[in-house]
Amino acid sequence: MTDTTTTETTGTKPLLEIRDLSIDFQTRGGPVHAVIGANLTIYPGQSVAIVGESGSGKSTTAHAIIDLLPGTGQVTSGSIIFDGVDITKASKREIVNLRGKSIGLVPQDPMSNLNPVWSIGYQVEEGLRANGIDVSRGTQRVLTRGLAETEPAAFVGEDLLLSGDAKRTLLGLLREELSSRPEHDRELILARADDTLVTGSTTRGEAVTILEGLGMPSATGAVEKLTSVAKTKDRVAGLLAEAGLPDAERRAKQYPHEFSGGMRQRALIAIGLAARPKLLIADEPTSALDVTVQRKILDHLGDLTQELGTAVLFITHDLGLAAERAEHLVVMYRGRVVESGPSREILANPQHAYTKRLVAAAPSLASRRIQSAKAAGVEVKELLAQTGGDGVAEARDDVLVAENLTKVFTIRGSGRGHNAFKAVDDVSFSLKRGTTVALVGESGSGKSTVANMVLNLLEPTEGRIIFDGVDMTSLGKKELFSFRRRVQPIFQNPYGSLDPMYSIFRTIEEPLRVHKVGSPKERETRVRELLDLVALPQSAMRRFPNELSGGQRQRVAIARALALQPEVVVCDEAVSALDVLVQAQILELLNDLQSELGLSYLFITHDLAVVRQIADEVCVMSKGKIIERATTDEVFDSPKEEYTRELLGAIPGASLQLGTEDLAV
Amino acid sequence: MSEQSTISPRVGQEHFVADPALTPLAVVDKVDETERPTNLWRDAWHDVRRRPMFWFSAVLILLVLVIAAFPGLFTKTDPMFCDLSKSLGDPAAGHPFGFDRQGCDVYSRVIYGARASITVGLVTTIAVVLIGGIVGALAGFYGGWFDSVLSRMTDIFFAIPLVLAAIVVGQVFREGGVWRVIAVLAVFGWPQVARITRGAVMSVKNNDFITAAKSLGVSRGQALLKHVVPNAIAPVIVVATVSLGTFIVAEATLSFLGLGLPGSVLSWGAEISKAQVSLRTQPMILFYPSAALALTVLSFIMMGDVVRDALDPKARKR
Amino acid sequence: MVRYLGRRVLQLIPVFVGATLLIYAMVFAMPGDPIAAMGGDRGLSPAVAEQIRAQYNLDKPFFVQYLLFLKGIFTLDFGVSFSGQPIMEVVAAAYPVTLKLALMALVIETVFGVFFGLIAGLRKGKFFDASLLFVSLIVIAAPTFVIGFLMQFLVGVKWQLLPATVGTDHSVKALLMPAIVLGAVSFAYVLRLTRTSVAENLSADHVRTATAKGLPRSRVVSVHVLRNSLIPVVTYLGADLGALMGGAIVTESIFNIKGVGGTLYGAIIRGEPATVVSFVTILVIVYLIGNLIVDLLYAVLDPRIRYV
Repeated sequence: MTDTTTTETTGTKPLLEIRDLSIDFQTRGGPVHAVIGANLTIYPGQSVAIVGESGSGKSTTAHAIIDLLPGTGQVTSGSIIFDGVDITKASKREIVNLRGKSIGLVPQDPMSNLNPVWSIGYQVEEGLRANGIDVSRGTQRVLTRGLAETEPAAFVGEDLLLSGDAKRTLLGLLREELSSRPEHDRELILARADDTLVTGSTTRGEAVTILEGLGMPSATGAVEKLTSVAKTKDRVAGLLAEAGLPDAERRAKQYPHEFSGGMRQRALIAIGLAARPKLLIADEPTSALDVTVQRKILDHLGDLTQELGTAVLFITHDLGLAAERAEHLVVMYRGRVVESGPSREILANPQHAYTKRLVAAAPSLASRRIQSAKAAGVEVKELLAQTGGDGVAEARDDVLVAENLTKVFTIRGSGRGHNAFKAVDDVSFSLKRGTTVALVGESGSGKSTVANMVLNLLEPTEGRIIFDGVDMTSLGKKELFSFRRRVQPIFQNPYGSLDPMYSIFRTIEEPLRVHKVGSPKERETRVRELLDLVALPQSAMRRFPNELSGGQRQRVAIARALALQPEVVVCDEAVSALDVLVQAQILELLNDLQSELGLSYLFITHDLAVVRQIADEVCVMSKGKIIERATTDEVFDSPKEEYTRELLGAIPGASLQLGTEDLAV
Repeated sequence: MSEQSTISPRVGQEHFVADPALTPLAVVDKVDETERPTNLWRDAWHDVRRRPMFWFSAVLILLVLVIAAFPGLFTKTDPMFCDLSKSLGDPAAGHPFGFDRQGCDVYSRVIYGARASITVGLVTTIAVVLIGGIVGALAGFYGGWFDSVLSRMTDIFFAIPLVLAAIVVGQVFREGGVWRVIAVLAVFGWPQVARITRGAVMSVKNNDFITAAKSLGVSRGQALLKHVVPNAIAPVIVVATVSLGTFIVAEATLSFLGLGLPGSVLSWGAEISKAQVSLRTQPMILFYPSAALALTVLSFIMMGDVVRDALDPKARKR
Repeated sequence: MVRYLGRRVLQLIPVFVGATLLIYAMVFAMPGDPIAAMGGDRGLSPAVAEQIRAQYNLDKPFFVQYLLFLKGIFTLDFGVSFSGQPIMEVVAAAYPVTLKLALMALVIETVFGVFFGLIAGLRKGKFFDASLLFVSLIVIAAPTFVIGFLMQFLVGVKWQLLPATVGTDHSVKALLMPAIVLGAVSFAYVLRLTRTSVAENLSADHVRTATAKGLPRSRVVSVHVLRNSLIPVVTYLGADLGALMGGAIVTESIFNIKGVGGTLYGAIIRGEPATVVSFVTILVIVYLIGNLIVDLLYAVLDPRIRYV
């Protein structure tokens, strides 16, 4: 090490140092080693990410830092030194003191992490009170001291936070001062002031600057005359506003069930940062949210923590996201740290076989790589979906056409009549034989409703579906039954889509039995064939779904869907719940099956990154409508709609530069 | 990525690569073919047989069932043979529990009393599971007006306390013996099973595998029968086991009040009622039938507990 | 909130009508003649029977009878019993004791059930939890009258700690033992319910979040675990008030209390259908009121349903 680097590196001491950490869980079958000899270092203000698949030990490591190991989990060896204190040996009281105050947590699932029976404001307030942060008492003290001093020259209490009442007073004064301005201007300025003066977050000093900037020369005097003191309630609103929640003062009085997922996650961020911890652990903080919301929240979190100088430990399964958000990466696999180092170096030059695999498979990276490869003019055929010979695509016939599909749901209104809700609004698309059309959209966009109409599980309110030249709406019961054979679904949740009481054999055999295909003997042969087709061992057919992993179940679901040799397969978020490597594997399987069997896919997803790897054509849906429809290349290269651009921007890793040389892996 | 990453890494953050031998790469998502195949029932059995409570209640239930079926195996004394001269007599050879007020052998009356309790418990449970199960499953699966009507009906039956209902019925039908008791308990017992079955069916029916079955061409009725019911059966079994115990208690309570089984039928409840007057002089006469009753009910309720734990989806891994 | 409660009240109406209709039908419209039965072995003279029939509207069509009966309930005029006493008087004599007894039982089972349930839930799987669970099983398995006799014998007769029978003394002390006996089974259920609920909530994500905020465990438990856990317990307790009053008949007979149970029992033995129907109807009303209180508590405890 040279002298220059030593001065740089010894400048600060690590905030967190994990050394040789091992964690066991006690189970009936003996101890399970969840974490084995892990090392991790975080410096103050730094952002670090632990990347790994489920079961890699990444969340366990994070929970050990804050001493919240679930169930029978126990640290068996090693140390976790935080700010000089070894957490593995600390007393209960020391740990309670550390939590919140020094180490904050933003948990994974916003839906279950807020207590449904307490208001949002109360839950944020707890984070302040638990850590002895009493805004009102502090401000009171400063204020009384200021009033006692007779020296008017010094601006008193400029670090004090603005209370809600104070803000309203200032806005009133500003309105008076602006009374000579034209109304339009005045309202515009007042709206600006309303936005920038944040209750419980803006200080009096900042308020002066803001108001003067808006053309209020008397700002200093006005602020100095304020008597209203920020209370805990104001600070709660301030924290929520800082976390990006609009209208925070009013929102704080609401309950979690009145919040959307994104808003809840913002509230959780406010809670995590309430006591201004030195380290914030963000455990897959956005994986349950829509992609665009995800991006906004992560951006905001990044800005906020940087401003506050908070160190952040991200826990994620998405290498692209990790590399984009953290400067240092720790890759975990089967309980061990297999590789760690600066993000860019790991991405550019992965050494461990597992990291290489991850870099190759992460869909966000893969789609970026295709983009950059194309930009460099490199042929990337092996990365793209196989259409079975481009160019011929034009000559293919439409196996499925949706014409002006509309679905209106009547929601039983609470008391007054019925509300009509248009889930799908005039949607048309066509699916060419042997190709893949992706329907992309966020939750509530109506994409799954379209899928259900295509599967004939829902009747369209208007419009029609033409399958192989036949209008579905004209079909009788018997014809419908045979139609079922030709269009098959694969669902998102691999845990819910297989009957837990059915063995794998019975599951795959069921469609054959229902449609009375073959003798029992022939059916068994067919089941064995299908298992081969989806690359599952034949021995798996005696097993039950709960013994298989998510990816394996999804293979079974594919085998079941293929049993009747359908022409169209509707994949409703079929890979969304899977780990990246498994996801890549299933996508590959789907691609192989397509070229082998000439299948056509209708691929429903919220994740554009996946689309790049599988679809030939993309329909972007928003609020029930298809807003953009084009080939995959067109959508990625020259998106026409703002919303599409937003979706594309939300794919993690936008700022990453991936050289085409990475393609070698 | 921020600017900092361009400077060389700090202490403890150098590029580190683990020895590949420590974590050999597994094939992605490989099926472990060495493990023995299991399913819900096999898992449950595996779980249950390690618990002493299971064996305790299983042995007890078996014993009570045998006693109820063949009381003659356990005593040679005729429970109806009473000798007033032995009234409230202490235990003697061949009469381990002593004699009651009428001078009848307490032991043999306890043994012969088992049949009534078990019959009422078993038959009522079967009836309740059949009625409540079918109604609950249909209501949960099809929903709509049928479900609304059922829910209100369940509420109505819940509003009338069981003992009172039995009293009223007892006042109207003075005949009928065992069957009357069973009928009352069944009529006022089925709504609970219906409610539980309905809940279980509703939580199963929204699963993707039901949708998958439908899109395969499986009819609604078939889906209910082949997919929904097998998955909803576990909570019904639990409630049935526990109910069996509570029905036995209810029968005893009715007999105790003189509204249950007719006097000609030997039952624990009636024995306890009769022993009431001798409480201060000979409390043990009251103790034996009470203990028999409590142990029997305990074994069924314990069995229900064990089964619930074993079938609890939350307790199961994955 | 108002709308929610309004809807709950509306939902109770069919239950009230259904339950009273069912009872009324069972007593008055079933095969067998209650009037003929009331004369006992001697039988009534046809003239007297006819007069009684008219007095109780039994000569009118069934639904008219039922509606007149409903009218009587809403005007608090239950008519007179066959022995000539106004039924309202009988009600006034019998209900206060039973209500007092049931409320005492409710308080006992709530306080002890929630307390021990909380401890058991917090120590799930430990020895203390296992013992509490076993005790609760035994209490559930032993019928009320067995527990009653046992306590009467031990506490009342052998150790003489509390009066063995109640008689006319309706003080809290006299009613304490019967209340414990009456509430015993429900205590066991409350304990088990609280325990399950607490244990489940303890592992809830939001409890972990609360802990991560830096709250001490005592606050986490009291603020975040207990309140959430009480929601199912409250549901049970509301339905239990009616059940306790209806079930008090056994306890009352053991401890010789002249309450609802004893009076009702007597009315049945003497063959007084009008009294029986009135008494059971009032019990149904108590049950429904209990449910309404639960709905109210529910809305207080759980903000989610206030807006439904």
